[in-house]
Amino acid sequence: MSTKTTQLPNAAELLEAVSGFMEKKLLPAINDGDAANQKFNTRVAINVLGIVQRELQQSPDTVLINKLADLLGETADNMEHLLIQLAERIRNGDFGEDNPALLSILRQQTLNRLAVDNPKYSGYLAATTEN
Amino acid sequence: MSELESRLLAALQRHCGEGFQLSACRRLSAGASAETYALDVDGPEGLQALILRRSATGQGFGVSVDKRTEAEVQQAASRHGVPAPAVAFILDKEDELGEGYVMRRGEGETLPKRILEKPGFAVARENLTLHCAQTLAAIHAVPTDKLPKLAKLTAAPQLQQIEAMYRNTPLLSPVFELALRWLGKRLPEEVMPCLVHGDFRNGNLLVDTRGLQLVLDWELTHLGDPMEDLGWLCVNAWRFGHRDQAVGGFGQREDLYSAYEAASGINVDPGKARFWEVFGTLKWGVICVLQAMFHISGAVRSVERAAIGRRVSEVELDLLDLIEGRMP
Repeated sequence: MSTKTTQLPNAAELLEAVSGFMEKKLLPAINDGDAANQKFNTRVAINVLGIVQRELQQSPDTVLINKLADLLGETADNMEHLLIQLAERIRNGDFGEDNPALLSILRQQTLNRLAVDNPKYSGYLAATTEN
Repeated sequence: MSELESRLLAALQRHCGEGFQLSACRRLSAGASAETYALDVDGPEGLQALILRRSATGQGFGVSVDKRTEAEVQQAASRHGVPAPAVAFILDKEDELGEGYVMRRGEGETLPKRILEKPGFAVARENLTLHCAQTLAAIHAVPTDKLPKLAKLTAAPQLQQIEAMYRNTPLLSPVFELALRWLGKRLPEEVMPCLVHGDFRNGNLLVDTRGLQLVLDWELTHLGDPMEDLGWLCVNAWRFGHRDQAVGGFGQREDLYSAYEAASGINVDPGKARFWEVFGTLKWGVICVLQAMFHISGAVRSVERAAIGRRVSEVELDLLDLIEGRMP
């Protein structure tokens, strides 16, 4: 038997149930010529559920958190807190585009977010397949 | 006949003559700051295909000109050889239809994905870079004394405007901060301001099988740096997945620049054009944040607007690619 759980279904499985319903039952029932654009909005909603599913499945990038803390000379391990500090220090001119460590951290952080927001994005595909 | 249609018929007869009849009217789109209707009008010279474009009640980007100014700029551009839809008449108070105008309706496609991917547009795609270059040269050459009063928006005030809009939202983005610093250090020197379309991109181009037919959506027009239009046309968001074709997903920058130089006599400095492409990319990112904020604040509840907020990461990668010289 596979891994046991105390909560069934979990959040990801609930989301999958909703997006499956929307895609397979709701979408085909909406008329194409609908003026209020409900077909388009339903597709957007399904896509949004996909973002939430991917976000739930993504684990913290501890390597990146450590690199970022090193760059800032901080010991904090909260990504959000570190990113806010980073933004303020870039604004103050402490770090700029001439800093390779900064660029590498920003790139990795952005790619991690695109893996959630839109893994089909042209720039994401180019960045993850070039090497 | 709906109330809109009877008012439209009255307006049509008042502006164009008693002999005109409205034979069809259908809603085309509900944009953020304008709504459009396709009209078929029967007149002494036969059937005419027209468009009614009028202000919507929703919020746009906040820097649009009013509909009368938009119509007058479009008309002036059209008179000076720009393929912009000729204006039939501008609505006034007596029409009780709000702010708007009626113009010629062209035949063709505006949906970028179809223009970029349908086999029927293969010839158009071949021609589009040249057509865009020639059209931009014509827009930038419209004599400014033939235009209504327009805001002069060069790089510095526009950068301030975009930064203020971003600072006014709860979002803090390290990449936006980097791009703001990068742009602030590279402000192009002031040039003699010319007419700028302000939203010249794939999506606002009416294209038929031969190429560009009409340039639409003049509501962000202003006086400024001609390079702004060239940069905006190359922003990755308007390439619709065809990232290797910098110009709107259909052409290469070098071809755009050389055709523009030939048509306008204005030298293109690739560094300045790049400034405007980075600026345009950041501007699109700030628009995404503002769209999401309309939803989050409760001003306009919409799943589409909420979802656009998550496109900020796309823009951030584009900004990094541009700054690091990795953007095709």
